Amino acid sequence: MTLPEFLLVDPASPAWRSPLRRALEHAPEGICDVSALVGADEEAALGPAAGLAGIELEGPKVETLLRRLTDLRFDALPAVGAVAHVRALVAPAGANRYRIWFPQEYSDYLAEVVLDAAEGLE
Amino acid sequence: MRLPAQPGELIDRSRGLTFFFDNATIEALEGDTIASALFAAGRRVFSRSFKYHRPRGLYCCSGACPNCLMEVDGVPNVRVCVEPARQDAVVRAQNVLPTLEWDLLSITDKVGGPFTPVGFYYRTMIRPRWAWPLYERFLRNVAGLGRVNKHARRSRRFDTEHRHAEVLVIGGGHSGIEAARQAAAEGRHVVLVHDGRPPGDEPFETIAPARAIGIYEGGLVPVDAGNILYRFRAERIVVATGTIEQPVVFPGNDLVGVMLPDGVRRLVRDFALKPGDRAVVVSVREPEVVADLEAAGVEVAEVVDLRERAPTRLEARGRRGRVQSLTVDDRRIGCDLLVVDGGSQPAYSLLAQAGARIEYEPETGTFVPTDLPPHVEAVGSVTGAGRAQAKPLASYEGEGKCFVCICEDVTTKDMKRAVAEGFDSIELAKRYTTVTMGPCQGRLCHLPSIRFYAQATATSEAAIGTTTARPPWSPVSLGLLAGRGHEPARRTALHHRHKEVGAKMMWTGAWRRPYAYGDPAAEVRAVHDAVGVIDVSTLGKLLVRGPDAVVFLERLYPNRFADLKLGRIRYAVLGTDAGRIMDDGTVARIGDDEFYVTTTSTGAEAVFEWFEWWNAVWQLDVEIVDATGALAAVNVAGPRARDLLGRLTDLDVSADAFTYLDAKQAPVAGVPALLLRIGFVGELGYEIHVPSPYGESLWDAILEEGADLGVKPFGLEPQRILRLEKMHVIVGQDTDSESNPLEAGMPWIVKFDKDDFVGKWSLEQVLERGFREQLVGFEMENGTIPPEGGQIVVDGRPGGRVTSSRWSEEVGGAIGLAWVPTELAEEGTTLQIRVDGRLERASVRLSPFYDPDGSNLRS
Repeated sequence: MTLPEFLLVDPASPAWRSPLRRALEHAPEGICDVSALVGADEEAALGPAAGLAGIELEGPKVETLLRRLTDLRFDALPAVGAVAHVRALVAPAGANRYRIWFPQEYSDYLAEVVLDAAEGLE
Repeated sequence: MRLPAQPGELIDRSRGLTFFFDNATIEALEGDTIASALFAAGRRVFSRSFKYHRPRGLYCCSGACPNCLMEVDGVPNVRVCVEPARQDAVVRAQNVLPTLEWDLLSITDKVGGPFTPVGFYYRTMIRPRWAWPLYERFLRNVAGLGRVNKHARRSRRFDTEHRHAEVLVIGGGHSGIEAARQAAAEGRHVVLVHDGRPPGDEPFETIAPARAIGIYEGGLVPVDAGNILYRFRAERIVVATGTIEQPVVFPGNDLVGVMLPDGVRRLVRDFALKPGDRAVVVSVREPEVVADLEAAGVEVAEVVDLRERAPTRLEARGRRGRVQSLTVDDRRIGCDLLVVDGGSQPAYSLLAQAGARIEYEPETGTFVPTDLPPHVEAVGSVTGAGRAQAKPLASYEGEGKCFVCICEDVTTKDMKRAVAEGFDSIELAKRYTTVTMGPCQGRLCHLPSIRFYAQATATSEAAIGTTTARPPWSPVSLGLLAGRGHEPARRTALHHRHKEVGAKMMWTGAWRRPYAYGDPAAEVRAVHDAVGVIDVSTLGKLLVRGPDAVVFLERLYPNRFADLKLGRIRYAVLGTDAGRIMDDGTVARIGDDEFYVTTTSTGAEAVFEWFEWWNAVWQLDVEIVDATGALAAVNVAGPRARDLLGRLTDLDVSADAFTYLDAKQAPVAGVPALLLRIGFVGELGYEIHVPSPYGESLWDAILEEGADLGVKPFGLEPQRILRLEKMHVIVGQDTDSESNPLEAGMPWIVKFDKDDFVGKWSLEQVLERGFREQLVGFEMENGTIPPEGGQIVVDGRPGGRVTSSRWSEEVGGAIGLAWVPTELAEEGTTLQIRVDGRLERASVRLSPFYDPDGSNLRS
């Protein structure tokens, strides 16, 4: 069954606003907002795409950063589990690159946690 | 001051550094610990004891004992014997007044003895009662360890990191390294945790210096690495924690200059320091330390070998806290260094935490681990293997204070007293005397205390057994355990819009919501007179669909849904098996087999789980989608809500086409929306649900299009007033875990003619026994607002309670909801409510204060 129309989103719509855009406005290099790229995998794992936001992390220390946020095993990704207590999907997205998909209402919180953890790596 | 170069010494003589200690500048070498540098500089007193302020010197030099705790760069209770000396570090002695060498508080040692047995403060300092806070303050000042600098908040950063390994080896001694190499050679992913310097190049990862602080259920091993807490999960845990050298209990056994062999060895071998001039060695095993002493040029005056004979008297004496002689039987031997070796005790705590059994081994007089749980292994001396030693007496005769526990200053006298008072089980005695509860966590006092109890109660060590081993095995800073304080907060898609206009935010569960944007009363007025808009995105939103959707909802709710027409909404109350109110909300039929269910904001997760649970139990063909976060929702309410909505959508919103309790899907402000015409706040109103990413643009459009209609955002507080005027119940505020829908004034919800539903039997029992109390409205006679939770007084006794109360401008009085005995639940009955100790009168109302016939709602 497809979802009713009021649960479907089109990031190309002029009305669409990323829930992360404010929180990641001044994010350092390697941390970016990929909410607009939400796809079938994330929707299947976590719920309607309209409710998801995504952060991409990239860099040589990305695994250390992730380990400070989640106890998911890297050899078992993509997987759903707690990221800083929030149910999220963690998916590899290339060399030293991962994406975290999570319920959009945690955007400000999770962005804050990610930026803080990144700061702790310096 | 240093000895000639020692083989394998850790210091680099070519590189010096300096740090500050109290008011002095201390010179150190690269590789020194703070303690070794202080020792090299001639310092012998390193701390003052917990209770008696006795001077204490280096003892174990391996991070086990409490004797070298100092404040380093503002961090209290640092074991400086294992803390590397750093350039410009600021080191301070703690728990002294004013200095280590000259501590006024040591008066407690002179006079305190007889007056300060274990727990004395709870017995002698309780009268007069009011003075306890003064006593407590005094005691806190004179006893204990370092001080936490309250102004140093966030001065240190603590992170938590989750790690996985195939093999986790705890302990980097020979056996630990060997085990790690072997596992690595087998191609396993190995991590070694070592609480000393990192070993050289090895084929595995090492975390050092770091301490495993426990083995928890599921094989979780937290590792304290200073500023990072690693949470390890390993398929196999190898414990190679080795043994701990034990003290011998005799009078004066805490004097400065009394040391364990390992402490001596480290001073000599690692730091090229001469530990004393003239030494006496007391040992229960081969005194290997003699070679080290001789190599360092220390004169060994005598070796008292306890394997050969047990002296009747063994007592150390000193001057100004420093050892000067040891008396063996009647012989007095002068010395400034007394090396005592009570044998080695396997450091089994982590194994015991993991589930190993601990057994007494009479030959060595120690406890050894057996019956290891699967996935946990012990290697090396922690197994107890390969030790040849005698068992010392539980305590030796003499006159001075004889310490069993140097962390907490517990003497044999204290322990005897505890036994005499009836604390004869080791677990009770531990809690009473606090032996083993100090910074060493029992490393140096657990075994001696068990021996002493065995002697004092004339039983055996095997019969007494050990106390339960619990984490943390090593002291750990609370900041490290707390980590970064991740507290998830949920914010709606409109959160920043609220903040931009200065809304006062509040927590509701994990959500942040606007309390009000300004004056709540003005926001209430806007809803009554024009139109208001409130962010209700936090409502739980579930999509229930599938061929069995109707059956599913019929069984879950006391309501009926089979007759709910497509595009219509019904208010629904969810009950527990016991018929109690669990949650409420609306159920809209948006397709033949598709329902849109809203729940309360705080109940959303519980309701979703409840649905999933019953779906699993009944195995119906139903799919449940949690769309709570996926949808933003606003409620546009007020007499002008229709005009406003008409400007935003092509949908026919006329009173005839879009009636009360209709649900329609149509684009609003250019985005797909679900519209629900409901009226929680008592005016004509529409809930508009749209995908969260569109929420802000909808909100902006509403405020823009409604500007000339007087649209005003309103917060939770005005909503609470508005719904109270309508006597609409808030689950959890007006109901509790005992409330049922019948007594809560909603009997029309419950359809007893349905086959079955969750809680039906229980509700039938309520009908049978009759109502005891009912939820009613009330209005105060003199306008005082009673406190929520306030008491309803019936015949001078508590008979009910106020659940909600507010001032309503619309009503022109103080109104509320209350549970009252059924006989008072009549329109106009007078209630007595306790307000600030007085009884105020109120009269019962059974129909809404505002718009009682609902004509506004339906307009």
